[in-house]
Order: sequence, then structure tokens, then C-alpha cells
Amino acid sequence: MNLLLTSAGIKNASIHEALVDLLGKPIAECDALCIPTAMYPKPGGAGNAWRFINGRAATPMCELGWKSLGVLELTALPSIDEEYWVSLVQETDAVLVGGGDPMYLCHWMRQSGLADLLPSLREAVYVAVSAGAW
Amino acid sequence: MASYIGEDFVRWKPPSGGDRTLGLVDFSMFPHLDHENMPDNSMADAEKWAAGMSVPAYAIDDQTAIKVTDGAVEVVSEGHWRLFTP
Repeated sequence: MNLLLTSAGIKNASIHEALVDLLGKPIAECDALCIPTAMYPKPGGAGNAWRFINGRAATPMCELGWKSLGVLELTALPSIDEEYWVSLVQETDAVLVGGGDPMYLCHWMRQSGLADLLPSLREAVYVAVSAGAW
Repeated sequence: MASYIGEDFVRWKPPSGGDRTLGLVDFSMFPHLDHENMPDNSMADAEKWAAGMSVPAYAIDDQTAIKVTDGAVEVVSEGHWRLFTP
């Protein structure tokens, strides 16, 4: 799995170019899944999650013009059938991970099983902000 | 993505304790370097943090990203950053 670890998202043309290079095709032809989970244990987490998902955060990611975008909520994954999300992750072009609390995010990556799945992803690019990059 | 983040950055505490993370890359990072609203993120703070790390550690500002292609690390930046080696 290739990665683009940022401090504050796709902030400038150089980082944008690096993302397109890793994807290997234009963003408009790529499916993406976003993960807002890291935001919840911090003050203002609910609003930050909404802004991130809606592409209104100060850390550009979801608003880049993806072909399709879905929300992968890590805290929900242990309680839903794997068939509803594992293949979705395996087929996506990019996983967009928002910032927040790194230990909380890591905990839920492990609990959800996503941590075990990530290294096996061949095509997907892991794109992360701050805590998501840690 | 690093194997650990440094105890200074632990806020929410995992049930198992510690500062271990996934270890998918063999370096660590210090984001938001010199951010105007984050007084604890100066280069001096980054130096102190890096002194406690046993892996290569990148301090990067908000105009910087770390690109990892098939394991090869490249820093992409229109701002500033610094690599600390243990």
C-alpha cells in the first residue's frame, strides 16, 4: 500500500500532484472512502467530523472531486457484517483518514480489523491528515 | 502508521496503555510544525520530541507531506520540514 501522510491535507499543488501520481489516474476517476473516526474524542469532534465528510474542513481531502465517496466508520465495523465493508475497502482507490486523536484511531483500526486489511491492499492509496498519518 | 508516536502526544489512552501505533512505516512524524495556533509545535519542541525517538522522525509543517511509494520515502513540500535521525 502506498501512502501520502500529510500534516493538513492536500494543501498545495505539489501535494496534489503527489496524490495524483500515487493514484495513477485523475481524482475524478477514483473511488474513495473517508474515515472520520479520529475526531470524536476531541473537543468539537462531532462538528469536525461533519466538516471533514462534507469537504469543509481546513484540511482538503473529501472535496477534491472524487468519482465516489463513502464513509467508513471504524467504530461501527465490528458490529456489521464483513461482506458490507471488506470488499468495499479492497476495491477502493483511496482511503482518506481525517485527523484527531492518533491512539483512538489506532485502537479502532485494530478493533475493526482494518489494521489487518491495510497491508494487503495493492491498489489503494492511504491518504491521511495529522493523527491519521501517525 | 508509525510504530509509536511518543508519550507526549498520547491524549486518549488505549485500554492496553502505551503509545504503540500500527507500524506500517518505519519512521515517525511530528505534524503542524510551527503552526501559529499551536504553541507547543515549535522546532524546539520537535527537537525535544525527536530526541526520544529511536526511528527516523520527520517534523513537517502544514504545507508538507510524506509520500511513500513501494516503501520509498519522499518529502513533498512547499513549506518547511526537518528529518531527525536517531
